[in-house]
Amino acid sequence: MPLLDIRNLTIEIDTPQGRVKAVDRVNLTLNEGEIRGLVGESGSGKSLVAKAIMGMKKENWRVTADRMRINDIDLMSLSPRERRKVIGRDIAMIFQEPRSCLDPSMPIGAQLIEVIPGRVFEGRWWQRLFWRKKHAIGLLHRVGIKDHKKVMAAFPHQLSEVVCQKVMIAMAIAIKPRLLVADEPISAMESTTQAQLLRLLDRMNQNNNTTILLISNDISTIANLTETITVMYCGQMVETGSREQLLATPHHPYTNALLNAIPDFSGRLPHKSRLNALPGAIPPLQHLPIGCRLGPRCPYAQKLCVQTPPITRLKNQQYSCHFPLNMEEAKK
Amino acid sequence: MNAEPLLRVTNIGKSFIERRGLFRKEAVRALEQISFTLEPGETLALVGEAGSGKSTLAKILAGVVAASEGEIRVDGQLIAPDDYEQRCKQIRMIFQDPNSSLNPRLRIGRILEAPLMLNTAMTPEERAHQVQETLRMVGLLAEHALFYPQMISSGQKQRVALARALIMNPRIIVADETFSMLDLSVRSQIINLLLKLQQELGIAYVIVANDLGLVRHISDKVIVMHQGKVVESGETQQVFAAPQHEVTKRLIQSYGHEYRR
Repeated sequence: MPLLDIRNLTIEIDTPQGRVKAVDRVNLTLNEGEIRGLVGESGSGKSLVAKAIMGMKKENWRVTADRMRINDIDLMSLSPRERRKVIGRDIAMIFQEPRSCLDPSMPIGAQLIEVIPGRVFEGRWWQRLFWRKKHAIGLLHRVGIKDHKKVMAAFPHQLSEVVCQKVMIAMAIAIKPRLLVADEPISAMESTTQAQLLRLLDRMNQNNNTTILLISNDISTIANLTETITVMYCGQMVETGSREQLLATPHHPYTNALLNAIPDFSGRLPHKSRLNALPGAIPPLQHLPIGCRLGPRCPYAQKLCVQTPPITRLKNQQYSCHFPLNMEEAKK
Repeated sequence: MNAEPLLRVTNIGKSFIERRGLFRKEAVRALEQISFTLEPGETLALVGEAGSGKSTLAKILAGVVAASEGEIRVDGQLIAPDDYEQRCKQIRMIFQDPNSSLNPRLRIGRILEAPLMLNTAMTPEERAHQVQETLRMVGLLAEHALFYPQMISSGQKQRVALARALIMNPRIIVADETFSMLDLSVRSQIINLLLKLQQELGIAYVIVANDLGLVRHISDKVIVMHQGKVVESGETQQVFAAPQHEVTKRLIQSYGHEYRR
């Protein structure tokens, strides 16, 4: 039984120009203990998916889904109050830019103690004295902060970004979540600190068997950590597959473009040569093209591409493209 | 040809003075003395961890922060720290976040016109012409001059920021983390544009970047910094092929295959 099962999630947003489909029929199935990567550029709706899972809706959103279950609880049929209870118990989220997510006017320790729920207390009644503080210190140790005294007393602006993100992760694991939604936790950081945080997430996954939905805009940084990767473009799911499949034989032209966009360290490209970039820019939500949304930018687009391609499944790799790439190898 | 390099930076350093208590002051060295030269059409990359002083160096070059010591020469001509008139024609800067670096209340045409109004004796017609030329150079349309910044995408905003840097026909462009905020496909477009402009106009770039793959691709020289000191410098290919210093080795190791299960 999958931990999180989403089928045909559609998010429509009312704008002055009319209703736009920001996320169009996204499927996501996460098994217990899995790390799933969700990759897409800004405006691809990956953060909207995360927010829809967490139930953080705005007035002008309309979220519909054929199925949205956590374990055996159907989230769509719950009342908002019950839903919040379920989500508060089972799901935690960490955000981009940790420093702006923490309260600047409160010391870290107080903020961390605040989120520890009573149900995680283990011990006898006489151990209840100051247990939250002890628990908070334990959490900080678990995310790799050794100097807990200094960090607990510090305000967010006094700490570096990595430490802040570690505190955010500590807050997230304080509720012992079964699913952790990490919304671009490592973007705009250096590679050494990125590696630190990824290692921490991996350790959590292995020690506590936490399922992680890792959202990122850069496929190469998270590729090594994740088992399966879903690529989104403009609100549509373009490709899903295991890491090996996706990196070796991307079927969708967009995945292929993402993989080839940035020069890697191997130096295969000649020095200072042109990079192969997709032409054009990501279309704004009000002017989405019909059919395959990559159509106008796709180098392989043909007449058929004005119809929305169906999701095809091939050896556990799903893609939605009329003219998939790298098919010769797959046929053999 | 002139024997003097395009940009010569000699012994530049920066220390901030911090107050400790009522009377005590303490100097914090943000940047130890650094010297380097740059030729036209070359790209110098500054890499290092957070707090290594690479941004400070970029800011000193662009004149945002005054250096405590040392001198900067462009074509052998000394540029004083407060000589903005000279500096803004020779050295221009592109900032990190395209969304916040453009004034939202001005049209793009006006944003691009401002440096011309302040620094040249051009007539309004000439200025409008120059603005259109520059917009075309960075791959935008002349009509974009009438747009407000919030009407265009972030990739296009970064192009406008580049146009604002180019409009004075500078010799050197300083780019501080310009690429890390951009999306992948837009990022490669901007890099292609920078490389094309460098080939055509012979501009020298000083870039601050984290992505070593990118640095390897576009830079000729690299300076690796750690805690305000230069720990390694030289030709990019050589430094990355055979890193000598611990810091460089660590940076390279953590790049790309940063994390493997």
